[in-house]
Amino acid sequence: MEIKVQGELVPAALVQLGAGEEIFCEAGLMVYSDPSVRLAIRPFTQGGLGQVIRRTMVGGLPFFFHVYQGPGYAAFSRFAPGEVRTLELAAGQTVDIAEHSLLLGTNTVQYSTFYVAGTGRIGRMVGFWMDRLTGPGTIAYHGHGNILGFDLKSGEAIDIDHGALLRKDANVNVRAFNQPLGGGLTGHAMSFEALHVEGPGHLELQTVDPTNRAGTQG
Amino acid sequence: MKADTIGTITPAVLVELRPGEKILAEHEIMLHMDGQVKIARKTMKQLGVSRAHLMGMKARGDTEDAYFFAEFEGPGNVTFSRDKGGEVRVLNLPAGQTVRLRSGHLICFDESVRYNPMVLAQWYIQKGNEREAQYLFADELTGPGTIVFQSVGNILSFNLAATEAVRTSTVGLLMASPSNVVQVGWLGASGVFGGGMVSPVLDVRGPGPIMVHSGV
Repeated sequence: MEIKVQGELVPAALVQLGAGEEIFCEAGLMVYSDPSVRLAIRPFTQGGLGQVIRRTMVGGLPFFFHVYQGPGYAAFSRFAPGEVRTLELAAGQTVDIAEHSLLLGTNTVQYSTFYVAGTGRIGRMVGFWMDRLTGPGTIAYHGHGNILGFDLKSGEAIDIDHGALLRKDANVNVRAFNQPLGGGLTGHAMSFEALHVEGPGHLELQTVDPTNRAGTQG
Repeated sequence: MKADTIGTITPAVLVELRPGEKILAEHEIMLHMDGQVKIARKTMKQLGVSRAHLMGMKARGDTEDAYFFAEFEGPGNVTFSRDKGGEVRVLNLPAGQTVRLRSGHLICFDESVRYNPMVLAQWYIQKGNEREAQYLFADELTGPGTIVFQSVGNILSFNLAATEAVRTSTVGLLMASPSNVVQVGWLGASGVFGGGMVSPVLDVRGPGPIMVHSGV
């Protein structure tokens, strides 16, 4: 199997599948494929019925994955400006990708999800999901805008906008907190949600918050 | 401040702050900051913008300017992103130099820079039987200090002589200087289908440097 990134502004991952080789991805990401490539569906049932309902109906995550089986070519895109990167995972190596950022994974990659709890403030952030991927295998993921990489030492921490988180090593800790905007009661009342990220491990941020992609223009 | 642009598709700005150095930015555009960077509020009143002036701007419907900026104090690194594609420029303003930047495009600026929101141009459009006022709001920034801003699309720069003028759309003008005269003109189409249809444009006269941007 060979995965190439094509295009610069709205890139796609082009996969050359050998006979019998498979990749999985969310539905709706396929740009084109050879007629010889077969499509199947794989349900994702981690955690049982309760977790499935929570993930799909509350979190908006998919219940089914699409599985593409070779031989042939298939291309996948998130249909948004940004960068696509591929990552070869060694056996047992685990990375976490922000929800709706994974483009594809080879069928040897183990997939699971976990929930990063929000601050719980009324009318504020309620948390978000991340995809957890464990090798061996290859994944491709899409960063909205540009991708910024950081290698955090043990105990080294940065605070980030929660829409900026794209990828982290599994041992990088992330938790939501309220960042006061100055002192006093007003500062706390005007606080905003951010993520405290602490190493050790690799961290990648994206320069566009996908939940705010429309932005505002002057 | 030391500011560098990162990325090309949707660029971010990496600002390195020395101990005690302060910059101001809209509070919702921070992408990441080091743990030791302190964040506080700086109100328009603290920046010398009177409440009456601000209320006047708000009454005209300006929604870009908040009542405060977020103040970041070093030491440490902070990055900002406006979640948009476009060029990011870092401009060092000497003492006394003033630029007028279209509202909604400022990313951050040194604490030493004087800030004043203003109306750069005003015109009226007819909506049914009513005349509705339209405004081009701008951030007036006076050095000394560094400002960082972002266009939509690419930036085209012109240095206009006293006798020169350029015509741009009402969304095309990104930056002008106080010596430029910005006037609203009307561009009319002719013919059966175009007759009577006019659109507002901006006629910008020199002397002075201006910037227009290619996006809308």
